[in-house]
Amino acid sequence: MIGKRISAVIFLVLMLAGMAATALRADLSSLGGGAELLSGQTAALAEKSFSQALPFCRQLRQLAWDTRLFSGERQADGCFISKDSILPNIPEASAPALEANIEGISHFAATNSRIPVYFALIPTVAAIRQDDLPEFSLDCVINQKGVIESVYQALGGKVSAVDVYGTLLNNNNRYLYYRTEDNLTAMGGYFVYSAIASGMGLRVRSLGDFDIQYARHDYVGSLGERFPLARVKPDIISLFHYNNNRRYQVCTTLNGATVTLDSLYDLTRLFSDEPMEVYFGRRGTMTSIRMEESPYTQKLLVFADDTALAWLPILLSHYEEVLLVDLETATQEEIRYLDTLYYDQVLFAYSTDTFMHEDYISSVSGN
Amino acid sequence: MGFASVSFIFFFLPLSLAVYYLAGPRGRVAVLTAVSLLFYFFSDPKFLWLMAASICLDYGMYRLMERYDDQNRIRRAICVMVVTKNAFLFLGSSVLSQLWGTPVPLGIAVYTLTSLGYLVDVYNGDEIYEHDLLRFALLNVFYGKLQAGPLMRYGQLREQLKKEKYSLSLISDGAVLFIQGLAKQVLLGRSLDSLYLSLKEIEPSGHSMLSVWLLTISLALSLYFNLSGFCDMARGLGKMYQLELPRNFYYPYQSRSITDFVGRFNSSVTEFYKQYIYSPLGADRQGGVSSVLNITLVTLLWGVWFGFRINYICWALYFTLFIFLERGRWGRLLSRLPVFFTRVYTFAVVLLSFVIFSGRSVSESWFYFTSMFGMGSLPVFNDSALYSLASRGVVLLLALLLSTSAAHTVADWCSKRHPHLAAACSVVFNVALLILTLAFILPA
Repeated sequence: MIGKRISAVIFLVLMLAGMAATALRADLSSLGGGAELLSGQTAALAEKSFSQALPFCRQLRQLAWDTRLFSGERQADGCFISKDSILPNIPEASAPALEANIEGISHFAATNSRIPVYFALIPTVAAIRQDDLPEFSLDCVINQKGVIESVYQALGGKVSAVDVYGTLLNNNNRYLYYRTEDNLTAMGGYFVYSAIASGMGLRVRSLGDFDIQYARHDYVGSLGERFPLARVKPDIISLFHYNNNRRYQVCTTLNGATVTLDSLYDLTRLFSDEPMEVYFGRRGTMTSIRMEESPYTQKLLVFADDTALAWLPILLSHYEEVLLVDLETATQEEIRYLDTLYYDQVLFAYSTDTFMHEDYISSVSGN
Repeated sequence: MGFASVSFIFFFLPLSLAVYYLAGPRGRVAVLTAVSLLFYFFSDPKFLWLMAASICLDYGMYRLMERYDDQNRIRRAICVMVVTKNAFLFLGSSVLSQLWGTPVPLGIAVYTLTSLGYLVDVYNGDEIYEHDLLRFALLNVFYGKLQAGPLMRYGQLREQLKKEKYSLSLISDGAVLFIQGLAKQVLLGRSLDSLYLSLKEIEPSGHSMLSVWLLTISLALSLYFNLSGFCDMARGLGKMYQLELPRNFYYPYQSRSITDFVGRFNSSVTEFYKQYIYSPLGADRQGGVSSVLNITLVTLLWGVWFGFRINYICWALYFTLFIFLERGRWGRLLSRLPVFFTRVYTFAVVLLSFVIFSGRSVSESWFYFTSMFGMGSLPVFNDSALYSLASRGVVLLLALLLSTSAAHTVADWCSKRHPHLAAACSVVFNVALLILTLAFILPA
């Protein structure tokens, strides 16, 4: 009985102390007013506010997280948590999105048959770093290789498919993907570049041809922010420089406004809220990159997602001019007025996640 | 707002307790009723009007019944109306939820059946007419029991509300019971529920024998830990407000027969049906067809408590079959067998019953059933089953152990042999449990 009494007293003291401390720290104005009360939102708002204001809440969350990992749980909110990285697991492919994207690219290739069109699907980390996945979890991961093969087969003859999967898999012991961000590192970008360049008939530059600048060592990406308790090491942002004498002009257009940058890398963004904007500056719908006094004459049109931030700075070294188009934000009018004949080659490069789940790539057909 | 929330544990509960004890014995009913309505308002504001209207209507009907106490026809008509209304609300909400996915109002089964039971008691002359609307409302809507019961009769509450003195030991018992119920629901119930749901998402072709077994075991345990967790919290809260609520789960998975299991699993509901349906219909006194029908009806309603679905009805019929078997030679044989054997038999029969419970249709349940015994073309195990086992195996083992009275027996033994050490251990255990549960309540 004495044990119960003491437990109860501790419980009551904790309740009262917790109440007082939480009430002092909570933002009570966030609870809303009469409208929220009547609509039943007050309880949810109060819970959110009090949960953030509860003393030792970070330590308590860490305790819960560690207990889950200790008991064997290795998955949270669609991501696998390994010892040193967070690996997003992508859901099953959306058949309508896949179909629409294949149809869109096929139509584009048919209407632009005078220009060689290349296509690369870039697997996500879960497909390449399978050794880092929890034991027996392979059944929970979709077969990206199978999806890539079936897409390449569906586009067979219309575009030239580039095998990125094999190259990344052969080098999966390297730092190819960020630990705290769902994207390729610059090193991963190099291997994607080598596969694409080889597929496009370019002479692949070796790693030794580049100066690698390790610009930031404490980068915590969006996954790291989503799982702050995962005890994962921060990432390194690195920048590849082919020839330090080369000068680039980067023009980014978004919503009619154009921003110009005199370098591939906007170092002022490196320690901002968006460190990934170090690559080409702020992301726009159209990013035009021109090499000054270029020894090359070829021009490339690229349709890609955020993976381009990793590999495009390296691929650029072969071209006089490159236009990167973000189909997610591009309007139909902008797509229709693209002068495709101005370019010598067209490249589509998307991560399997984007290609399998987003249907905006289909808008490239102009329909 | 649920019990497992920061706003409830650190604000609603301490503030309501403070107001309750400051109000003193005279104001306690009014305070507790107001607190219960406030809890409902914060938890399910859309249906507060439904609960208030239902209770006021029932109260009006009882008063009308009292007025026409000497006119049996009118009394019977009122009784039929109230029974119909409450049965319609109880079953209707479940049917609407099945057909159109409409949310089930919080506590609708609890307050409609409690009110219905009181009506039958009053009609039979077993209970006095309650003139105080607040007392009547409190019987129906005490917030602790709205989530999952237990059901209680007015007679169980009336005398307790008359108590003038407060018991400190009741408060400490209540606090400990609340902590343990909260831990059961949050640490085990939720985790097992998420394991069950992840296994349920697997396509039939992706299953294996092992994954179907895991699915069945996780459902059986998650249902037990969620429901009994809520009931322990209800009993704990009741004690903190000086009210004793009946126990609802008595280690059902160590029952010695199916009849025993039905009496231990959600036992307040079983008692309710026995009291208000089985006994008035003549129980099994008349024997033969009547007895069969009475037992079948009560067991069916016991299953319908979880929802009005064909699988729940089949689940209840499955238990009915075993209850009949146990009334014959099989029951006599069981009573002569060693305890260990009867417990294994009951656990196996109960576990298999959850195959019926888990299916969305009879054919899906049949698929699970055949797969469990290797009658389909599924492999014995596959990676997804092993992954589930690896990620939740510890929780499953712990839940299996805690679903028996083993831990309780050990604690009792320790407190008899080493009372001081046991007391110290229980303090450390309860505080650790509270901190860990709080950690799991916070959003990740």
